[in-house]
Amino acid sequence: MTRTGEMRIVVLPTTPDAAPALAVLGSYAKRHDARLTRTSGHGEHALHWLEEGKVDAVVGHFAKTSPWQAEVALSKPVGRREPHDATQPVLRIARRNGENALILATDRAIAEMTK
Amino acid sequence: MSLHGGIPSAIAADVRHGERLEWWTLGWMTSVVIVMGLVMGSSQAMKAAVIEDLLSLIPAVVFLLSTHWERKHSDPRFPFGYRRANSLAFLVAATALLSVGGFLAYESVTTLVRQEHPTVGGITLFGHTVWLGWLMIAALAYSVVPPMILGHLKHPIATRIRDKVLHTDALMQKADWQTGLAGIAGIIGIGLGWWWADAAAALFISLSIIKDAIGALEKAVAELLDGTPRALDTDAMSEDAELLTTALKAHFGDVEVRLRETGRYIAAEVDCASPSVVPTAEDLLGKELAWRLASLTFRPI
Repeated sequence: MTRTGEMRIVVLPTTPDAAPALAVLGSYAKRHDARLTRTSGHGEHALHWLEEGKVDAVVGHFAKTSPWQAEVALSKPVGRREPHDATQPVLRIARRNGENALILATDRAIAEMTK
Repeated sequence: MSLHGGIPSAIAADVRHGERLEWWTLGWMTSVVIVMGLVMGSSQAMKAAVIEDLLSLIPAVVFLLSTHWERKHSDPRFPFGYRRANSLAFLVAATALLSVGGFLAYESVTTLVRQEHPTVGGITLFGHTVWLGWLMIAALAYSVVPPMILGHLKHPIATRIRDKVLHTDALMQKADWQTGLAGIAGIIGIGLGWWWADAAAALFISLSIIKDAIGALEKAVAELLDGTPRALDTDAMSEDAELLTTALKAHFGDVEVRLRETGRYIAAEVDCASPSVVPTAEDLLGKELAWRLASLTFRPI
């Protein structure tokens, strides 16, 4: 999140069910007096931007065993339990490694939502 | 005890105590590795700590192996017995200590150079999502206690039985609890947003470990090259060796005296004709240290 109060996110194409993830991120941005700004981006590019800190989060469908799991911090599935098949892509929020405040806050919000 | 095998009765109780402490070390440190493995998540720093804890088991294992071999008596294939197993174990333990220091330094430097920001998120336990850092701190705090106590207990025994492997293991335990404390400082630093804190603390400690390890390696190599017996904690000649040299010169005049160490035992060679009355180990080193002298040879010139 930039000091200008802007939280930049990318929703990957073919994520029609992104609403719950956007609600989690919107709530976090609101608590920090920031506004959510959506940027257009595609798979690999968006995740590279996330690694480089050009965006704060990427919403999309990722498998638990995604090859990106070490490069970015993937959340647990949003709004559902972890599927038995670890290769099945489900809605998750990818966050930049080391952004621990955002990671913990979104982890908590997702856990509450799944209860 | 025979000439080239067995453990002298004067130190047998202390050696058994050392062995018991090493079995405790293996048990406790295995539990530490399991606890750390459960909470390490994707943290590279925690993974490094687990690898370091695994490496730290090596001195304990080689000490137990070396005392087992030390008890074996000589046979036609090994007519001088197996006491040098201790010297070999010392080299392995010193190398393990250097590996821990080197690994820690490498991990720290690469983290700082690549500016890797460690990720410590949340974990859901009993319906509550808590910061994984708290669990990591608890696991690291647990990892600090056993090595601190065991290292403290091993040090005086290592000094009494002149065992460099046990002494190196006490150094390894010091390295363990120091890196545990550095890890706690690092996790707190991550919580405060200081991504570099963990690596900087670990780098600082790794330098001290490497210094201890190089000192131990120098002594291990000297022992294998039949160098003069060295002190446990410095590269200087050991006090026992100095005492023995002085006693031999007092008995035989200003003669050449050569000493070497096989494990914890000293072998002396004196350049003079064999005397009619050969002094006993007790005459030369006193009752308490007599066990240190394994052989005394005279070489007519």
